Amino acid sequence: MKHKKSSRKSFRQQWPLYAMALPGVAALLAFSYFPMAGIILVFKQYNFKQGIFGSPWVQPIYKNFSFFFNNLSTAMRSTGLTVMYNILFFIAGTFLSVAIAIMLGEVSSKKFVKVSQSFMFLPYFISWMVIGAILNSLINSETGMLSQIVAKAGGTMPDVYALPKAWIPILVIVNTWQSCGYTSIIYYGVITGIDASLYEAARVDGATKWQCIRKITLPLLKPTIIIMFLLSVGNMLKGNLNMIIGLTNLNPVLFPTTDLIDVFVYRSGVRNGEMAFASAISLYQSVFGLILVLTSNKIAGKFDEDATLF
Amino acid sequence: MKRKTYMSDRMLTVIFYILLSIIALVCLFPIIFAFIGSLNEESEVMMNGFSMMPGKLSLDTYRYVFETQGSKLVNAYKTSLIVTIGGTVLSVVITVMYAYVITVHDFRFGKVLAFFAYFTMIFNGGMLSWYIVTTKYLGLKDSYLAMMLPYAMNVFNMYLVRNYFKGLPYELIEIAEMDGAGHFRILWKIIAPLSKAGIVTIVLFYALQYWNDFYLPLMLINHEEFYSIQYILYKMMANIQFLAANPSSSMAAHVVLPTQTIKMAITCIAIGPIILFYPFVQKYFVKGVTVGALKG
Amino acid sequence: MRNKTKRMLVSGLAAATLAAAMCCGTPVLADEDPTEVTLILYGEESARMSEFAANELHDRVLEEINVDLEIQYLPWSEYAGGKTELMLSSGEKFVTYTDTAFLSKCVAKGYYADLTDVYEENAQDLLANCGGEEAFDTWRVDGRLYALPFGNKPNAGENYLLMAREDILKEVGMEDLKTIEDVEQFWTLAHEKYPNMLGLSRGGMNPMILNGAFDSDRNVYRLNGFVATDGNQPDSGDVWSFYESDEYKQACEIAHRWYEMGIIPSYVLSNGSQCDAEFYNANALFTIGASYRVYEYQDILIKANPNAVMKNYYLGDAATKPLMSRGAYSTAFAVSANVEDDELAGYVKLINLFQSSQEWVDFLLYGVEGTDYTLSADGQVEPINTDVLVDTWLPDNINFKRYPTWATEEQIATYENWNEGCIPQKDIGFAFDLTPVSTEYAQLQAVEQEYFNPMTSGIISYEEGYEDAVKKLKDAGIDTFVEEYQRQFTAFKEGQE
Repeated sequence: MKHKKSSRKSFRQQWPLYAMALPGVAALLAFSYFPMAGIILVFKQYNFKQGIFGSPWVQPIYKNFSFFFNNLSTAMRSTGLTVMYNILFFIAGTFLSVAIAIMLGEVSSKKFVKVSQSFMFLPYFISWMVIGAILNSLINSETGMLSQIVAKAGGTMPDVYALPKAWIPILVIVNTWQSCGYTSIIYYGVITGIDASLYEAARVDGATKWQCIRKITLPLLKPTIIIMFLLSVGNMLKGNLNMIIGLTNLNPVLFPTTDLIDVFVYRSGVRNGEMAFASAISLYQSVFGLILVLTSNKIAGKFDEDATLF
Repeated sequence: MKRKTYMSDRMLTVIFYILLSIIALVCLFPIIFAFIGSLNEESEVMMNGFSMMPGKLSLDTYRYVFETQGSKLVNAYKTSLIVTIGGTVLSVVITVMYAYVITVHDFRFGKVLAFFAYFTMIFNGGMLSWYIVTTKYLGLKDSYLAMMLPYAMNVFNMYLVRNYFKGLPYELIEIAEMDGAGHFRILWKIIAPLSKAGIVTIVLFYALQYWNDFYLPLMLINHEEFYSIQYILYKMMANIQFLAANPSSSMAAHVVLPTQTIKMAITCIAIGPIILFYPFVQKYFVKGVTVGALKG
Repeated sequence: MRNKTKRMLVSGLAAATLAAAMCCGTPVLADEDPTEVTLILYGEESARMSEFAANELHDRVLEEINVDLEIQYLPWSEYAGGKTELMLSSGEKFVTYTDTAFLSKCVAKGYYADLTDVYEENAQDLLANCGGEEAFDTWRVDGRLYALPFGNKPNAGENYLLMAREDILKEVGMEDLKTIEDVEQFWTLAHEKYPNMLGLSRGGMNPMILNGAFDSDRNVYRLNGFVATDGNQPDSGDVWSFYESDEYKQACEIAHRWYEMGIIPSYVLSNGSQCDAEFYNANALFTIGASYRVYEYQDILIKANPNAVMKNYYLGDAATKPLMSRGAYSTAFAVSANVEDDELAGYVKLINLFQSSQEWVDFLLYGVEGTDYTLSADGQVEPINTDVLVDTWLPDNINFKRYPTWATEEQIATYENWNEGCIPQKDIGFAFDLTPVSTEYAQLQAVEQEYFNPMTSGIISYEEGYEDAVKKLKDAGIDTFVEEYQRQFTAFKEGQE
């Protein structure tokens, strides 16, 4: 898509644009920006009588962060794990969902597309607690189905619930499995919108399906992949607490590979303790995310003006 | 040459069918598992874990859910339906308009608005201030609107639509503008019809978001008449999970836990309507919208 | 600003009404506007309960104390935090139950209304039926009362007991469980007979069930997870770090042996819900005990196995290490901070009403006689519909107790005399203010979960895990924490004298 920078237009000409943006701006203000005043609570010793703004400042001012950073080795471990998993999740998830979308675009039976897509969609709606229960009945070393198959084949299945290393692949596989159907819809939507004449022209020139995929479909998906990446980069430091609770029951033996930032914050007793502790770490995650996204947005802009978020 | 191409294409298609079938089955497996699990006899699950071939099928678990929740479920389905339809319409309109605004090149605040939206994806003020603003200042509590307005604009979905708009030739807007069409008209008559697949994507996402939501009812609904189906199910799950995770808590120790099979039954009850609803949406993902034809 | 005006207006009005009422000297007028009260309960609300709360219960409360009652339910996940805390901190008006840990946090943040000036007049029945002034002392902070004790059940040694299947114990020819050896012998015999049966299940391992069996002359009482004191010395304010004590070492050694024997299931930490489920299906020998839990658990177990009998065992000598009681309350009700004056009196009256007589407790638990239940000649409740109304544990009061049909005379006598010979816990009336050490506490909890829980459950042996764990504990600030606890507890003990 090429575009020329036309000269700025007046408000009179563009009032419909202002009107169109208004409801969205109002919603963002009401439910996101006004509540952001609460960020101040991170630095406050909240009490009911004095309210959000009247409550005294905490002493020292960084106090609500210190439970996290005092424990530097654990803080670094959880930060590292969170980043690592987010990257692995993104790579595996994107690869699989793009592949699914392309394959769905290429098969011709409408019925098959319908049925298979409906199936792939389902895992997204199962709560992590149930996924955890299902996973357990597959892989637990006593009655699990996989263990029984392994046993029949003459081997012994190790107790994965005592093996931290095993959980890196397990989490990546389960997470990808859970979300691939859902994300593939985004890519599938883009593929169904691609101008069919492009393919027709290529076919006339004798291109194979594989060539069409590589030369037409993939390049046209690239901006979407970049946008998806940029959208997820801001949440690079956020971990899925419910996933870890559901799958591992917060089994301490597995913490070396499952102690994401959100898990660490949760198990530091934030549940029954200070809301401000959780808010403080959430601020840390946000600031880090903002820096990452500003940088990557800039880099993306260098390559392709259209592939930026803002 | 031509013949060879044909053969390789056939091969590729067959491979695609096989791979997709495998993925689909792997994704279907847990639902079947959950369904059969929900029909397992509780006592058998205790002894041998969930079995894909239970000795005896039993509807006891469903009976339990429907007996304990009773007439509430019917009303809750109604609430969920109202919120899902109302919320989706509202959100899609707001989101599509916003996305269009930041797509238009010569709009002075385009970039600002894009960042304005994105910023909210990263930063939030925490639950307390959100709760106070929503319940006290906006008065959103115990109403259908309370379950819709806070999700009126999902920035992720907004970016999906914008991404879709960007895929269209920008000349469409420019030519229409030269012809004297206003922006409302351009969006409604030209851009939206060409972006059917993109809009259907977010319609689907919004509908599922509203359907699946339990957070807003949890926070903003106190009266039973406004309970949604997901909230009722979430409540059951949360009660089970909390009590299992906190056996030492003095309160929890008093309370009787529901059973294992219930988790599975709840999953099936929640997913059922989605399976029924999805094919209706899917027919809009028609391949081969030809922009070229319209341009000419 | 707006709120302030409103609050001033309300309190002004209240004062005016009060003045008017005083000068006229009239008692509560029948046509006076009823006090609106919102009661928050947790868990599942049955269909019959919603109907009951809106009609029969509502009308009767209105009639008796002129209170317009509304009951709302929240999921358990919102208890002591979550939405409950949001509602407290945003100033909504309601009453709900609490516990000592949550209470001290809420009082520090100013979330709870001060009940000191209203309870004597309005909570006479609570004072009479729920353990007297001592029970109220638990809920005071700096002499001010912030919650109303509710229910009354003898509960000495709660979580310091091992509950076991008495029927199986007899079946394998044993009589009693008094020592660790008894438990292990029982397990070996029972395991031979029922190889699929679990040992310690619901709740996993709690080292305190071994308290009586420790080779130690201290009667360890754990003030919180990290700090313990000697329960046998009521006047001493000495505390120590529990995880660094010799008793904890002994507990870990026993737990590890039990883990290797199979008494503690291998998946105790990874699949707690399976442990629970097996327990409820009468497929486990032990759990953590408490006197009243016999009734709660056996009620469920007999559905799976009609012969199941639960009994509490104390692994030790009650003469040298008597059981400790926290006070007989079953829970306590606290009111949110914005409720004031006359309104507050209405809230207190409501809670009081719920423990005022056998009739009221029956009404809450079983509903309307004739519609929901019938009474047999010997006073047994026979339910007509099976919907749960108010959870049975909540108003559980030994003064108004109705025993289930299966309860033997022996079980009833055991329960009624349970607290004989027990001593009070040392911290009744003490609320630890966490604020000065909240950072340390958060870190300690993270360390506890990662490094100590596996040892506590026996999965990792003491020799293998202790050195690393205690280093982490020190880094997290255990010394500062214990020191602060010691300071506050000493001050409390001195204040008591």
